[in-house]
Amino acid sequence: MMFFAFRFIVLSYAAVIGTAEFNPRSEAIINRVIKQVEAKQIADRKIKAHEGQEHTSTTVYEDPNDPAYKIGKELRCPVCQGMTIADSPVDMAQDMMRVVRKMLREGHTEEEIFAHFTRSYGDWILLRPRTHGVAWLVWLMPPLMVLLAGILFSLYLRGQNSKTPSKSSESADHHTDSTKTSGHDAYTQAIDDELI
Amino acid sequence: MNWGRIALFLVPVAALLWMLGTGFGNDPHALPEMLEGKPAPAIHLKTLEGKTFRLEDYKGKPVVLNFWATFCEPCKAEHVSIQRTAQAFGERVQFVGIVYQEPPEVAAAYLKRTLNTFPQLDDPSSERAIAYGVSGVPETFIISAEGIVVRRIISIVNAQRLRQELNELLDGGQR
Repeated sequence: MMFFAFRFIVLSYAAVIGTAEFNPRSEAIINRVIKQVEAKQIADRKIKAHEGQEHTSTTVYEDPNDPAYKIGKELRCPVCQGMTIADSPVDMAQDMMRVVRKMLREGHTEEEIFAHFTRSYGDWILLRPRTHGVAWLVWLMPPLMVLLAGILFSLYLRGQNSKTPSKSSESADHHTDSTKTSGHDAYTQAIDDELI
Repeated sequence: MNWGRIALFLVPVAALLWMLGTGFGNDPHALPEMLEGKPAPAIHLKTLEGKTFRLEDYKGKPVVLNFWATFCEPCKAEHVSIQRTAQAFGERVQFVGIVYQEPPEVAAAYLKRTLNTFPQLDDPSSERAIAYGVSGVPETFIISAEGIVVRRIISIVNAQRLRQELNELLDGGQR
C-alpha cells in the first residue's frame, strides 16, 4: 500500500516537472490529450475554412522583422484585455492581422493602415498615442510636469536655505539669553533663600 | 495666510481629482462612436444563399444592419424582435444581417429553424465587421436613406427603440 502511494507521488511529481515521458502509462495519457487537442484544432479549422477564406491559419505572427507584426504590435485587440492584435490568438485579432497584411500587400503605408483602423475604432485602437492636435499634450505633459516639479522644488529648497540659518540662530540666541536670564534668576534666588 | 501656497497645492490636487473622477466614470472597454454621422462603409458581400449584396443598391431607404452569431444568446433573443420590426416596416426599411465570425452553414442551419425575412450576409475574415468597428455581437447600425450611419446600438436591440428610431428617420429624414 505504501509502495503504491509512494509510486503515485513520484509519478505525479515526475509529471509536474516534465519527466513523465519516461513512464509509458503517463506518456499514453499525454499522447491521448495531445491527440484530442489536435483533433479539436483540426475540427475548428475545418469549420473556419469555408470557401475562399483565409481562416485556416491560427498562427500568432511573431517575427519582429515582419512589417505586419510591427504594425500589429501598435494596434489594440478590441475583444481582448490589454493585448495587441499581433499577440492575440483571438479570431478577431487574427482577422485584423489579415487586414493589415492585405493592406501591406496592396501597397498601403503604415499611416494609411492606422487611419483605416482609427476610422472605425477611433484613436482608442492605437496603443501609442498620436502626435497631432490635443494628443501632443499626452507627450508634452509628463516632461513638463517633471520640469515644473523640479523648478518648484528648487525654489522651495532655496527658500528654506535662506530662511533656516537666520531663524535658527535667532532662536538659538533667544534660547541662550532666556536660559541665561532664567538660570541667573534662579541662582540668585537660591542664594537669597539661603541667606535669609 | 499664504494664498499663493494654498493655490499651488489646491490646483494640482483639484486637477488630479477631476482626472480621477472622469477616469473612473468612463468604461475603459467602451469603444468610441466613430461612424455616427459619417457615410456607412461599403458592403459588398454574398448572402448565405450565395447571392450578391451591395449596400449602395439600397440607397433611398433606411437600412438596419445587424451583426450577429448563433453562439451569441442575446443575438438569438433579439432576432425575433428584429424580424417582427422588419415585417412591420415592410418595404420602407431594408433589414440586413451580417454573420459575425461564424461559418455560414451554421448560421444558415439556425435560420432554417427560425423566421427570417431579410438577407443574411457572410463576412469572411470579418472585414466588414472591422470596417464598422464591431467589437462583439450583437451590434446594430441604423443607416439613413442617404447612406449615413445615424445610430449604433451596442448589445441587444430593443424593438420599441428600433421602431422609434426608424419612425423618426422616416418622418424627419436624416437627422
